[in-house]
Amino acid sequence: MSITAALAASRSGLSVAGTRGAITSENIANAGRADYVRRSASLDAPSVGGGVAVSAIRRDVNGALQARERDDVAAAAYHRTLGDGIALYTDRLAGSGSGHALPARIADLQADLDLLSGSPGDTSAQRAVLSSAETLARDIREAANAASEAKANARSAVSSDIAQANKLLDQIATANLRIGETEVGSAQRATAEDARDAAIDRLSEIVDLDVSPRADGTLDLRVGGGAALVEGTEAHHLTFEDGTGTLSAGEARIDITPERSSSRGISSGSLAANVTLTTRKLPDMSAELDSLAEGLVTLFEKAEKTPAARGEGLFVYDPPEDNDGPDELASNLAVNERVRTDGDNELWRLRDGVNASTRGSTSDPTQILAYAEALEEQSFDDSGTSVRLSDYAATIVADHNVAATEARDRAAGHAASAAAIATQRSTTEGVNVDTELQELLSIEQSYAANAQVISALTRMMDTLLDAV
Amino acid sequence: MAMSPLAPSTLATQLMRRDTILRVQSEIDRAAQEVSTGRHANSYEALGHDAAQSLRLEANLGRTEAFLTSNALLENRMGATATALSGMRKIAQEVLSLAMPNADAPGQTAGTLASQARAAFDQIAALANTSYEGRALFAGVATDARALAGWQEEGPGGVMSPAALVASVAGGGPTTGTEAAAMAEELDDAFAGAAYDTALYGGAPADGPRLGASIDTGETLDWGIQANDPAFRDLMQGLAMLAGVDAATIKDPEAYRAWMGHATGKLSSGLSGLLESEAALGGQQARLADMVERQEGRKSLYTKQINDLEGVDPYEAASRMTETQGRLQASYEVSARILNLSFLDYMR
Repeated sequence: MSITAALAASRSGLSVAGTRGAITSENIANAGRADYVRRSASLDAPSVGGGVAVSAIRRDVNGALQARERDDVAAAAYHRTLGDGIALYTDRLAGSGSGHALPARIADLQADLDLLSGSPGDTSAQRAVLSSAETLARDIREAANAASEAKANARSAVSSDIAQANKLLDQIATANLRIGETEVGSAQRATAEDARDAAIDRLSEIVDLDVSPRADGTLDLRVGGGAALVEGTEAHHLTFEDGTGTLSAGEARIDITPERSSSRGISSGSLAANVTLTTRKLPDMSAELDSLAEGLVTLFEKAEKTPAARGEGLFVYDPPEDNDGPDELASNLAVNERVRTDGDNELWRLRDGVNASTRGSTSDPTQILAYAEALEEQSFDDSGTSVRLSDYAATIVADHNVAATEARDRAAGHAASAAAIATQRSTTEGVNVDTELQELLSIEQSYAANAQVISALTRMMDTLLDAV
Repeated sequence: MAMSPLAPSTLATQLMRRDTILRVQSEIDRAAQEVSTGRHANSYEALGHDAAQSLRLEANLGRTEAFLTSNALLENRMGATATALSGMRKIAQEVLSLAMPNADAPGQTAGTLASQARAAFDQIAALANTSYEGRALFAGVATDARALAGWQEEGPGGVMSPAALVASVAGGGPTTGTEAAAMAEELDDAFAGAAYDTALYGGAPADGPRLGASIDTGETLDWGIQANDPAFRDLMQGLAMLAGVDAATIKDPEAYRAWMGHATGKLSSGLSGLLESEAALGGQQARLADMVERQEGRKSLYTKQINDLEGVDPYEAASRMTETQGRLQASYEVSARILNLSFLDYMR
């Protein structure tokens, strides 16, 4: 050992202190970034000569926690998207207690018919029946429109989810490429890893992911069901086909549609929710509204005293002229124009039958009582039991609203669990400013000590030189 | 280098505090809403699939309330009918009381009998034409029609008046007992048959639909007394016979007895028929009143059930709000203190 060696060791201490200071200041500067992972320096003896050296810049990530958080993030995004998507429709169905919910509308019509049965010739009572029938038809129509708007919205969300996912897949593939090119333990590599992990975090809100690291530090991404999304530097883009409602990955078009038994598909994340909303949930809800409308049309046709064919009852389908879909949809439900104010305006038909050929007696209640009875008929199938129209409507309204609320509830649960895991992760991965400041003090001390050593050695050298 | 245990990152701590405060704030919002409305802030969340039950109850409540309104109207209408009916009975009763002493032979009052009967005929026709809320009470479902024509008024057929109908049969009155019986029989046919519709009654046909109203879920009340019911036909025939032929002018005692006997017989059978209708109407009124009472009970039951399902106990909600408020204040306090606590302040 020599003074020169001692000087070299102290100089290495100073330089390590500089690097550690740089890392600490980097940590403090990035303390406000959620996707930044705390860096620390690994110290080692250099292979040549004495002293100390920074062997690597470490970036400690807890893989297990990270995977669990991503699962929860995906599940939260799935349920939130599902809940919000359904709520877009159910918010337009007036809720319970408002007096404007569909079952209340049916009760209104019934009540007005009851009132009219007592004074069948009273035109103001007839007008009340007409208006409550029109309100009911309008509300069912609006509910159906809201459902199809929500469906269109979910469909466009599928497109934007796919566009965003594909961009993220490209970023991850590019980051894999960069990580492969950089040196292990370098600052550049840590930065590239940060960028990649941030992209994966964002992607996990869209689809549920399995991450499998490779030996060279790059990683492969698969969806929950197993189909590959990123293999090394190659990204497999997602596509959605409207006709079949199929979501697929890559050139090979591997089916990853959620909730399809044959697919190796996604089951979570906002994309899964939007695809499910588009292809299943909202169409099912629309179908239930359609059967409600169909029930109304049929019941009132059957209640006609003069036997009525399709389109001759109180409620009819009145599709717009440029209608290119089927006519018999809830969105086309209307009151027969023979009665409507903007049609023939023949209010007496409410007393004598929409399909009647001539006017009857002023106060003949027979037809009105038949209408009121039709609404009492237990002709709707509600999971095996026959129920009345208004009960069926109550079930629909409640079920659809509960579906939205439940999904939002579950989203809140998963989000809370994801947040808890994130806090746990942050103990190892996040930046604690106090810790960094204490680290800074220790660096300062070590720097001062090394500087003292150098000045002592310099004095020793000076003494030696003075003696010469 | 090992990290010190359990030192969450500064950012995560801050975010956690922020989230906690946001959560408590939304809890307060909710509690405040429940305190002010007395109902669950989100009934679908609170009730789940029971919300369908609550929607059903609300629909039933709405319908029951409407029944209460429509039944009140019906009660009024029935009341008006009953009043008119008892008025008619009183008028006819007076004529009968006047006729009875003169039934076998003309007494002192025989001379006024015809004019009394005519007045009674007109009064009863006027009562039968009473309308309530613009709708005739005794014309069946044809509530826009005139139920009965007055004695001298042209009948709904536009051919003859009731007076003309009796005159066409009885002319100047019977001269023998046999003739009286034959005339009475001919009048029986006229009043029981189509001639009644031509000369007197303008309402809905007897075999057509009757008045009826839906008074409760699945329950219809068929009611309504028409002026072409047998009781009315008898009553009007009795009056018409007394009014059409002045009893004092019938000279033959046999003819007198036969004519007057038939007339008073018809009159009293009509009266007892009217009494029966009144009793039946009273029964229907009682049934309706009973129904209204039950509906009142059901209404409060529904209201209670809806409250049980959707309502929030105000004390519970208020104390929840106070408790949450305390929690929010504590959170603010703790956040402020912890955020102020930094190693930076002690580095010199």
